[in-house]
Amino acid sequence: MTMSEPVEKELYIDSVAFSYDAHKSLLTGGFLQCKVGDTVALIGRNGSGKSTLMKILFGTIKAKHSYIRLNGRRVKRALSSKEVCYLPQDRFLPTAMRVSEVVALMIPSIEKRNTILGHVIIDRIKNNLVADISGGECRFLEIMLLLNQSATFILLDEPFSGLSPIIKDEVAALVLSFRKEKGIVISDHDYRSTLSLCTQMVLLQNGTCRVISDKRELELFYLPEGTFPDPT
Amino acid sequence: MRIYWHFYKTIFFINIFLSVALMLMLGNLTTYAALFATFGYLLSMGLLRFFESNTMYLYYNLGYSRLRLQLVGFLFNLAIAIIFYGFIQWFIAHPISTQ
Repeated sequence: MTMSEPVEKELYIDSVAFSYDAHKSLLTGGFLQCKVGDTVALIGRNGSGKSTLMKILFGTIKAKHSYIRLNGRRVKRALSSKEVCYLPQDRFLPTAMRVSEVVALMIPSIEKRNTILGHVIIDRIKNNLVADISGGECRFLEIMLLLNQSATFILLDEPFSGLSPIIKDEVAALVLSFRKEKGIVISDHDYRSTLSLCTQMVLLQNGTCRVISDKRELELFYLPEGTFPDPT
Repeated sequence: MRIYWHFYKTIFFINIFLSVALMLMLGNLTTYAALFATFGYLLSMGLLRFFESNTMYLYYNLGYSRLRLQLVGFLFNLAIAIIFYGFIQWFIAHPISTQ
């Protein structure tokens, strides 16, 4: 690579070692790679360490060891770079604020702000307190706000959890509309919604990551047999 | 600055009332500014961390670390404590006359 060649935007983590308990390791060699245009599905059973891996990548949990590279540079925590956003499993918006105030706080561009407030789901709740909106509406708002940040990489931890089918479709459409300009990592147990969006599948099992090339491979490790009928 | 102020605002309101409670326990008006700048701030931070810890993700997603927010919050708080100190000293020097 020459000096003038632009660095490819990429989020990369490997050699992750982490344990909550001194006697049992949760992550022993997790890795993940996401480039702009990728939508990576991070799949795994409950307690396999998906959220922990995302938090280590984002920088809110410190691993015993990890190697994180962001746009060609090694970083200790990605959050300070403003290049990575993370959607936690629980609500993170302040409940005492109105939806329109939260949008104004998180989105500096007036044009983007108006687009968000004009969305059919947001428009009907924009004058409500965050505490008063439903879990699904709040989730949608959070995803919308994160995808509209200038960050290149978005980590979504259970974005489909607790959403009605219509809002799930809206979230899927939203993710698809940002796919070209961002790298997105999704971890969710709603495997149908997640797999329909992803360009790569990574299974987290026994503390390590396994790249899955065919979704039917998931039947060996994660899903019940017969989930995906044999095409022959 | 807007984000720092937003972070500090919640702490400020909790701190005002906590410091009043602490001052009443000590029974000394002159300790208010010092309590507001130290124990009140630390206790307010602790309460916020305990009850609203997930809200920190809002700031993280905007690129602000906890340490940076706490340091700037402390400076805001110190500036306000100095104003309170000046006001209390002025109040003691010029007591309101009842006659």
